[in-house]
Amino acid sequence: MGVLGLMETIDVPVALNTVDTESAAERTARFERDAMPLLDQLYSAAMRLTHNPQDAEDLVQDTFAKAYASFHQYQDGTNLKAWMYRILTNTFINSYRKKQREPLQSDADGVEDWQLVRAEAHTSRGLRSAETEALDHLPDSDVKKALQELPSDFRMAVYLADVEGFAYKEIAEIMDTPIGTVMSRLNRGRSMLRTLLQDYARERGLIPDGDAS
Amino acid sequence: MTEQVFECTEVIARVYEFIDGEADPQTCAAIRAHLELCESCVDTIGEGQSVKALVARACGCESAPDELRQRVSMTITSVTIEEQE
Repeated sequence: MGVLGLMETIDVPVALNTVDTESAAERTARFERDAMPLLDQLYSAAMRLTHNPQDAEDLVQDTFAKAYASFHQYQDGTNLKAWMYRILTNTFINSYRKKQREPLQSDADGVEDWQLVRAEAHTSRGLRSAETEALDHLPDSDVKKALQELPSDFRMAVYLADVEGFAYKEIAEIMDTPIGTVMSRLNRGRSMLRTLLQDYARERGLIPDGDAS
Repeated sequence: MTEQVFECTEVIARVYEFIDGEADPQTCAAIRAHLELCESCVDTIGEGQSVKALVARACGCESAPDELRQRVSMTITSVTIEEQE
């Protein structure tokens, strides 16, 4: 069993032990001290998930309300950030993703192969180094746009690994999926991302069109 | 024990584990030994690291609006007051 405790198909992870002796005021103080500093981070993740500030705000608001309501079940010393991310992810899947009518994961699987082939097609060393360097010059808005092009499961895995630096095991628990699935989402997500970023760099003239010799 | 050296395909299959710090020490050693010999795989790893760094730089730096901060604080406070009544 994982560090986040027993998981059911509900939004809030159920921890094994609960803090019974705490008063409501103490719990509120503990929540304000430990959970509130995560607001900016969770809002950033919510922005990447929902694509718009209004939905991001609602998602974060719901996440904090659920977390607070279950905070007596959260054990001090376990990974609060991962616990909060788990609630955010579940809330997103159960409410916002439905609303946004995103294609299901299975619909996204077909895009993989040709994109991998495209990404691997550039093998010339000089070209590859130049392309990698060119990506560093892309504005942040392009990187955000590329991330938003990914199916949300891929996007979330990449976000949790690259922005938050979570370990695969933690991502697996946040997304309630086996580690192998996390690795496959990262693999596919990142190769799609790389292809998109190379396209944007080409559109901006940072990478010359055509073949390198 | 002789140090293991991976082939290109073995390195490419483990690029992200390596970059993410998830590969075990033997795997890391076998990848590093391969990278001494293979510029193409050095590029592949470099590319992966660049994209990861780019996402880290560009995608995580939003500040929650003050209004949201107030909304969240109010939710917590109102729940606490209800419980105390």
